[in-house]
Amino acid sequence: MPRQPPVITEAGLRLLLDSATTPQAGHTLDEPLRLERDQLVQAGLIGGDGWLNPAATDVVEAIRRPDVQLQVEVAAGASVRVFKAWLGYQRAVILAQPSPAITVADSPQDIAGRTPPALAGYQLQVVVPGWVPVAAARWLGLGPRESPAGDRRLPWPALLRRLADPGAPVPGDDPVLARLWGQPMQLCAITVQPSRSRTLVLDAAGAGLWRLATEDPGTAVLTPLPPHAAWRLLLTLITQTGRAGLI
Amino acid sequence: MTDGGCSNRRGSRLGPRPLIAGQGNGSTAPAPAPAGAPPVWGHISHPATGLALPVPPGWQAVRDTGAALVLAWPAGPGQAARFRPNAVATVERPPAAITGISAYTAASVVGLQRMLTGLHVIAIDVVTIGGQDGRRVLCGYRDGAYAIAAGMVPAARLPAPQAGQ
Repeated sequence: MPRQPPVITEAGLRLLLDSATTPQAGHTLDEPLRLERDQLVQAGLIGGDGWLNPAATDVVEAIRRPDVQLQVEVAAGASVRVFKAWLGYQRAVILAQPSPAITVADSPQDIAGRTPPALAGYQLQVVVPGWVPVAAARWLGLGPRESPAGDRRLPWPALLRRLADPGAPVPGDDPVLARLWGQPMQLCAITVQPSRSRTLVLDAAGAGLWRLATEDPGTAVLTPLPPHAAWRLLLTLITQTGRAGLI
Repeated sequence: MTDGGCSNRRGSRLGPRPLIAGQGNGSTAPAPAPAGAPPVWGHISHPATGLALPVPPGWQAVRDTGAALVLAWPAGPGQAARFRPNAVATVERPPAAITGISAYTAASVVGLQRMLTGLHVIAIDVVTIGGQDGRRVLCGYRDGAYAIAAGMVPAARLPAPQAGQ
């Protein structure tokens, strides 16, 4: 039976990094962090003596000195879910909170009413760098869906009101915006270091993905982002930033 | 139906074996460009099935079991052990129960999900290939130490319309 990936917090990640220079003895830690340490030991990242496992040196190296760092934040209701990845030349480390992917069972009210997860835990995975875009696409729920045509312009306050309240009025009489307003909706921010590029994407479930930009103060521009273009965007953001080992 | 992919699901993990031009699978290989000439697209055909494909500049026709045509990015010096981007084209007659390109595509994706590790389908787009109705399926999966992005492009040769239709 495959071993479950560790679920850790930011404190658990710091503990992993610190284990490269200082042994992390279990009896010196408080209960929640000791359980995270135990998971890191079971995953083979930290040895029973509390030191970083030598075989995991490049894992810590990838986090400390990544070629590329990718962070995806998805905001819906009062919740922000986060996917972080550090890409080294040979290894990448992913920390991911529960996927925010919208399912067919989710209503607009479900998504707008989403609450923060009870635990700020991240599932930790060590993967080859080329797997990060696929993992991010899966986490985001990037898959086949409608690809609308044509840019749309609308007031930012109207869009922000709709994100918070599915009952907010549709601005104007555009049938595409009306359809978009009737779908579950969440906002994704993709940030890549060291280029510091930040891209906003509106996920409107069955009404498609839209790249978001500001044309002039107060006006949001929605540009259709078909799934294959969203994939290409992810790859471009990562590869233009560093020399991570993507094939 | 034809299924053109970019995949290493056939042959060795590191890529298919080179094909000696014009031999082995009944295909006719593209003519090499004259020295110094600008790179041009070639053309390759598989007489047994009637399949024909354009060949990107520099790509090689290679041999692989079960595929009508296979094209691969040329291996550079010292790169024999590296993954080579490749395109695999197969030709098959689907079961009678599968009617239409959408059903064929859906059945193919289900089959791939059984065969490949961690398959995630990113996009399925409607395309026209050589005048035939087709789909472009973009997906990612794992193969050992490799993460692979693959495009599967099934296309259907539709029956000729009947008189009066």
